[in-house]
Amino acid sequence: MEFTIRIRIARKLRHEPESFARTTNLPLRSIKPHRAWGTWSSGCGFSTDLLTYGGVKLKIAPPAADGLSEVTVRLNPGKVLYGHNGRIITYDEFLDAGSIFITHAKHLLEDPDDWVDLFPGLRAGGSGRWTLLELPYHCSDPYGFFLAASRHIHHRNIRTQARHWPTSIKLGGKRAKLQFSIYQKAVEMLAHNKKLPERLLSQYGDILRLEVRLKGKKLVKYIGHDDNVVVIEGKERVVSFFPEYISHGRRTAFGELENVWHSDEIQELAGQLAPLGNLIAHVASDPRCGHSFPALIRQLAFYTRVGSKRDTIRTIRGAGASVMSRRSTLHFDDLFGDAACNSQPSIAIPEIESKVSHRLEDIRRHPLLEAAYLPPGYVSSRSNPFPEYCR
Amino acid sequence: MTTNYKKPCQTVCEIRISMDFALHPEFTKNPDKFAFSHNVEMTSCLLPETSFKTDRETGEKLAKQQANIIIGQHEAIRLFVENDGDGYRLRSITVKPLELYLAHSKSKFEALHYLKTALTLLESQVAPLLANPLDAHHIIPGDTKKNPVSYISLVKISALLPDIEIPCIHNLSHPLTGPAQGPTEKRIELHSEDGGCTILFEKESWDEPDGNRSRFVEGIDVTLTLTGKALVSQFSVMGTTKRVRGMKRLVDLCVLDAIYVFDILMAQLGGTYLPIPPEWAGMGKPVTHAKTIALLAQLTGIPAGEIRDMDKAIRKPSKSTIERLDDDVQAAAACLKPAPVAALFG
Repeated sequence: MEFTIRIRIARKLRHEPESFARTTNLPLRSIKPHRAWGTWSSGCGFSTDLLTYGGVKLKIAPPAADGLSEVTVRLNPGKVLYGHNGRIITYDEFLDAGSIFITHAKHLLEDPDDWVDLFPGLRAGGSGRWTLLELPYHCSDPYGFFLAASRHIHHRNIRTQARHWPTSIKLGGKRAKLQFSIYQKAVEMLAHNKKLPERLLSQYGDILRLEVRLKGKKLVKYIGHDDNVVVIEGKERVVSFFPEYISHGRRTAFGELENVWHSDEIQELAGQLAPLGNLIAHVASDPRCGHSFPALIRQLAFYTRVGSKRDTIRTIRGAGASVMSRRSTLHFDDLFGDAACNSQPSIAIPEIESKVSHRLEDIRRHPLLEAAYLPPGYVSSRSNPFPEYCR
Repeated sequence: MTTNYKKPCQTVCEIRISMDFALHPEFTKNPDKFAFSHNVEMTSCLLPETSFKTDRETGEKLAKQQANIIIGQHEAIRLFVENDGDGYRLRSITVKPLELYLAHSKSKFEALHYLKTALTLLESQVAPLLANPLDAHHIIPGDTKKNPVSYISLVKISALLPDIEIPCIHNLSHPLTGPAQGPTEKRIELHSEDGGCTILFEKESWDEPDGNRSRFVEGIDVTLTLTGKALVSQFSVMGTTKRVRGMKRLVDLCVLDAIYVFDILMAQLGGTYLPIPPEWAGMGKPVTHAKTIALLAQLTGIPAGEIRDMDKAIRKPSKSTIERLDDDVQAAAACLKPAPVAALFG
């Protein structure tokens, strides 16, 4: 997750970040100047990692005329609490990670009492806002049926083609405001950054991670409601949220994927093009095919020089999508129902988790944080007031 | 569209040389002034990145700094330097030989000699920055040197192929990398599991000389990148590898060797290049059942007859429609002319 804030950075940090990092008690891991030449000056921006085991990255721009610096904070709650992001984080854990961030980051401020500006939504009229949310979801896919069925995913608002790897699928470009990723999480953790010990692959190999990444207008569309969207610098921005906004946003986004979820709806389309869509859907479903349904549609548009947005291709795609949905054995409500939501599998890595330790007082929530992020009457799902990451 | 593909012109577009030499302390104090006084064309010295690690025994914060120094225009030379607390050391130089040659050389361009000329220019620019003048002799590795202390750790060779389209490339693979993964409409990448061999096909456009003018061309840029064991293994047949600090390394490179390796590896590419058939534009409507069936059969490997049977089951066409469709599918399929991807390289 990512948010942007405007804060007054401590003078010494601005002018001599390396010296600040060496002498402070804060667990700063790195100082990386933004592309700048010559000698260091207060006019240089830089990035820094805040915690020993990662999870918080700050990108600090040079101060503006009012002395405030725009800071982009990338917060990974899983890494903050457990040293890795293989676990599905509860809402209470997200708030713990936020509290830990505030506890450490306030020492980067010129005046630590300005801490309310460190997190979006804590101060009415503040400029802090959420800029990116990645909403993960785990399910068990021991035989790979879900991953195989997901090869055909399509979203009407995403024009770029899906990218396929043996154990993952990505729909939406790197800079897109809406992006879906579906992948075997344990395989990714082993291959990507060697976080997962190899012996745990067989234990967690069946966990499939579904992620939707929301930015900009899409963030407002899926997470925004009347009480958490504010106009900042002329644009609508999400400044806070409640847990039900997150679940609803995730369900809505995944529910919009085409060619994946079973539907008995039959689209009656006249003309010659509908049977073509039907035919392509049948070929795409053949185990020998090796191409997804959207890929075959794209190839048809390319080789006939029609262009994928033209009515001809749209009609063929629509007819074929209807067939794909009827053939699918995946039921959306089964996967995203309450029971499944509350029993998502998680990856635990004791070797890493045992190294991460936070103080109990660091997760004590301020009333302002609760007011912004907990709905009235919220009942915590936490059974143990002393979480394992607090020692 | 012809299936006789012209052999592309390959260039060595980047080399990385690894080493471990101390930098001149006066240079690290004031890079601009030092470079100017020693006629080094330094463009910029990027501020260092500092990473911190706490010593578990003493509790002291240990800092390690890394920086990049750019010499010449278009980042023709990039020095990577590190400071572990004992002063800055030069760890590697990345050079773009063609950019360096074109920016500096006054002599006529020689397709086989630009690399050697560029490396000589490189040595003249970097030598003054070293603490020990004797290290200057080792900046450029060479197989004639008795005990080489530097070696070539990365080679990038690229070729431009005009009038080739990425979406026409199917099932791309290579014995060193396996099949392509995560392709897009503008880019296909093959990479080995250890990252030592990468082949990148990317959509590109450029200007080509055409008599007194230049012609705008669209096509693809194919770049082969070799590092580590893959690099050594591909060039070992040239006899240009030696032991450096106990490990076999590449210590010499010439343009001919690079072209040879590039050609050998491209000849091993698997996959099909299927150009858009121009004849389809004159065969009725843009999208027809016949064209669709012919294309699906070509792309998937499922026999056209089976796909026609699927179509019959869906539409239940009349006998005359079936006969007409059979003829039309044959005609459409005859226009599809797949060629092996390796043939694109002449």
